Amino acid sequence: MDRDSLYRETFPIKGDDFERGGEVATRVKALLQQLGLPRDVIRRLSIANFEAEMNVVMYAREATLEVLVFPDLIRVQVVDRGPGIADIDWAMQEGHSTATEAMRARGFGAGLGLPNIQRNTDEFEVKSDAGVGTTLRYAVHTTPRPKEG
Amino acid sequence: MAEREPAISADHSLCIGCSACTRVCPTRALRVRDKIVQAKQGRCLKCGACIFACKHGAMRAHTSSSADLERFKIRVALPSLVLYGQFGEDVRPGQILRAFRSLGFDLACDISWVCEMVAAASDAYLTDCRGPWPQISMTCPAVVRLIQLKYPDLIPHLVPIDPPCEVAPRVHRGRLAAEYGVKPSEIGMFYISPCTALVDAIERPLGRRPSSLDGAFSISELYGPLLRALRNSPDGDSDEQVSIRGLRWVMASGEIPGMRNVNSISVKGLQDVTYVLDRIEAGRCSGADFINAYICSDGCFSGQLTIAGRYSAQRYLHNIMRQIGDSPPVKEERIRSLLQTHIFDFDDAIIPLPASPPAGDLRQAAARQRQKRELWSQLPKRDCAACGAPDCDSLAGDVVEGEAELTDCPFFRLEQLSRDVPFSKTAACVTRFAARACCPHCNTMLTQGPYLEIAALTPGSERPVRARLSAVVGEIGAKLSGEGPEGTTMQIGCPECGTSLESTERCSLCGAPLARLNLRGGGTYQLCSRRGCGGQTISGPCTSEGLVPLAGRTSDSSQEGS
Repeated sequence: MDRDSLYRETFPIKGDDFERGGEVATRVKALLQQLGLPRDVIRRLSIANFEAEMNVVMYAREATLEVLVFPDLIRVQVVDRGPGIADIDWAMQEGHSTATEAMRARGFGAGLGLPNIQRNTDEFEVKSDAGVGTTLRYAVHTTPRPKEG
Repeated sequence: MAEREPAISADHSLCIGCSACTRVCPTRALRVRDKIVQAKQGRCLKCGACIFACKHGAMRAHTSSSADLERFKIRVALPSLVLYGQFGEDVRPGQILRAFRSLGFDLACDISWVCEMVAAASDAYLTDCRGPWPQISMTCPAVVRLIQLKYPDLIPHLVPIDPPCEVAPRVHRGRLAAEYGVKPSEIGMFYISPCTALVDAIERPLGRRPSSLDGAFSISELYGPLLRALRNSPDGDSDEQVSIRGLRWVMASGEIPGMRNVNSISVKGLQDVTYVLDRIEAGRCSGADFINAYICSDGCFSGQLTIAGRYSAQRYLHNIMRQIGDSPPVKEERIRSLLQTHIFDFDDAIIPLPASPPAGDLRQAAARQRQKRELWSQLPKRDCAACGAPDCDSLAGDVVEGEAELTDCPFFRLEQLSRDVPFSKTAACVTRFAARACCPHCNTMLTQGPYLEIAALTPGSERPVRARLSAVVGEIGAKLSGEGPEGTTMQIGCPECGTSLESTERCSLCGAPLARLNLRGGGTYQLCSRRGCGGQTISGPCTSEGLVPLAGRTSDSSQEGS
C-alpha cells in the first residue's frame, strides 16, 4: 500500500451472517464492472472475493474487505478478527477443511477456499495469528504480464 | 418485416411520473425526467416488471396488429402452453385451439410436442456437453439478455437450443405449406405469448438470425375473444392429442421432468435468478448440470400478459393433465432425425452487451467512481426514487454522467434551502418554511405562529397599525391587514421598538422598498412593503432555527411563539 491508489473502498463483513454471505462479492463485482475492467479480471476477483467472504462468514467474527484500484492491478485485503488459522500450510492444501457437517450440508467448506483464491490471483499472501485473526492479501493484474501457473 | 413498436413503451399521456416503475426495473434502466418516464438505451430486458408496477396503465406491451395477420394467406396461431390453463379445468386444449378459427386464424397448432422434443434435444446436448457447468437454458429471453448485460462470462453456459416458440414454426411451416398448397412465406406464424420478453425476441432476436415467427399476440388481448368463442361452441368433438411431457415442462418447479438429466434445477423470479447467477459466476454452483431460469416469479404462468392467476392456472393445467392421463413419448428415432436437421439449434453466437458506456481509461473511471461515492454520501440514502432515479446510487451515477443534478433530490434541496441560499419565490414554494424573524434593532421575535406581527404605516394615515404578514416563506400575496388598497406601499416598522425596518434593497418583483428582519440563528429575511406583492428574499447563512420546515398546513405552526 505504498503507492497511491486510484480508488479504494472498504466493505464490512459479519461472521455467521450466512443470509447475506456473498453480498460483498456481488457489490465489488458491480464496482469492478463500472470501472470497465477486463472481464477476466472481474471473474477471477469475483471468485477470490466470494471465497474470502465466505471464509469470514463461516469462521471469523467480523472482517473488512478493502478494494484498492491501482493503474496496473486490483488489490484486495481482507482483515478478520477470528480464531486465525493454526496451520496455514495445511489449510493451503486442497480438500482440507475444518467446516462442520452443517456447513457442508449447505454447500460450504469444500476445503478449497485458500487454494482457490491463490489459483485465481496473481499475488497471494496469508498471515494469521492464532486467536487474533487472519489477513489475506491478494491482487489481480489488470495489464497483461507473464503469469505463473 | 415491418417496423414494429418496441415490445414495451410508455404512454406519456398516462404517465404521471410517480417513479414506481423505476424501482422495480432489474437493470435500473428507467428514469423519470420532467414527470415523464424514460428508458436508458440498451438496458431494457423487456421483462415487463414495469408493466406490473404501473398503476396508471402507462407501461404498454406492443404486439402484432390485425394488419400483420392480413399479410399472410394462411394464419397460424402457436399458443404458449400457459394458455391451456387460462380457462378453467373443464376447457380442453383442443377446444381452445379450435376457438382460434373464429379469431381470424386459419388454425392453431399445439406446441406441447415441440416442448417435449426441445426438452429431449436439450437432454441430448447435455449428454455430449463438456461444460462449463452448470448449463443454462435459453428458454426465457429476459434471462438471456440479463446474462448478456450483467453476466457476460456466463454466455458459454447457455445451451444453444432455441425455445419451443422458435422451433415450432420450423417444425410446422413446411408441412402446412404443402398441406395448404401455398409458399412457406405465405404462412404467418404468430405466437400467443404470456410475456413481453418473448414478444420482444421476435422483433429483436437474441442472435443475428431473424426469428422464425412472424409476430405475436398476447394471451391477455385474445382472452376475451377466445372466451366468447368457447361459449359459442362449448362442446368439442375430437380432442387434440397433447404431450404430457411437454406440459410438464411448462409446469416445472424444482426439477425438470421432461428430461432424463436429473441434476437440474428450475430457478424462477429475478431475485432468485440473480442469486444463482452470482453463485455460478463465483464458481459456487458446480453441483447442478442444468439450470432452467425464468425471470418471472412463477415462470411463464406469471408473465404480465396472462389473465388467470398463476396459482389457479397451474392448478387448472394440472387437473387437465390428470384428465388426459398419459401420452406416448415422442419416438427417439424422430428426435434423433430432427437433431440431424439442426431444427432446435440456436444457430448463432450470443454477444455480451455493454452494461454501461465504455469506461475508457481506468484512471478516469476511478475518478468518476470517487466522484460518485462523494455525491452519494451527500444523499439521504432513502432510495425513495422521488428524484426520478430508482435509488440514491443511481442518482449519484446520473449526476456524474451529467444527466441529473443533486438538487433533483427533494431531501438534498430541503437541506440546502435551510442551510444557505438566497432563493427565488418559486424555489421556496416547493417546501413550506416558516421564517422565525426578529427585529434587527430590539431583537424581539416578530413571528407569531404562521404570521409576522409588524407595525404598518399607510401613506396618509397618522398612526401605524398592527398588521400581519404571512411568515410562510414563499407564500404569495401575503396578507397585510390594515387600510389602503392593494398595491399601496407601506412603511413597515417594529411594533415593539417602533424603529423603521426599511431596507436599502428593493423588491426584485415590484421595486418597492423591502423590510429587513433578522432570522433566528443567522441570516436575513426581507419582504416587500407593497401590499399584495409578497416578494421576499432570504440571504446569509440561515439555520434550521430561522427557517422551520412546515409539515402540513400553515396552522400547524401556530404553536410557535417567541
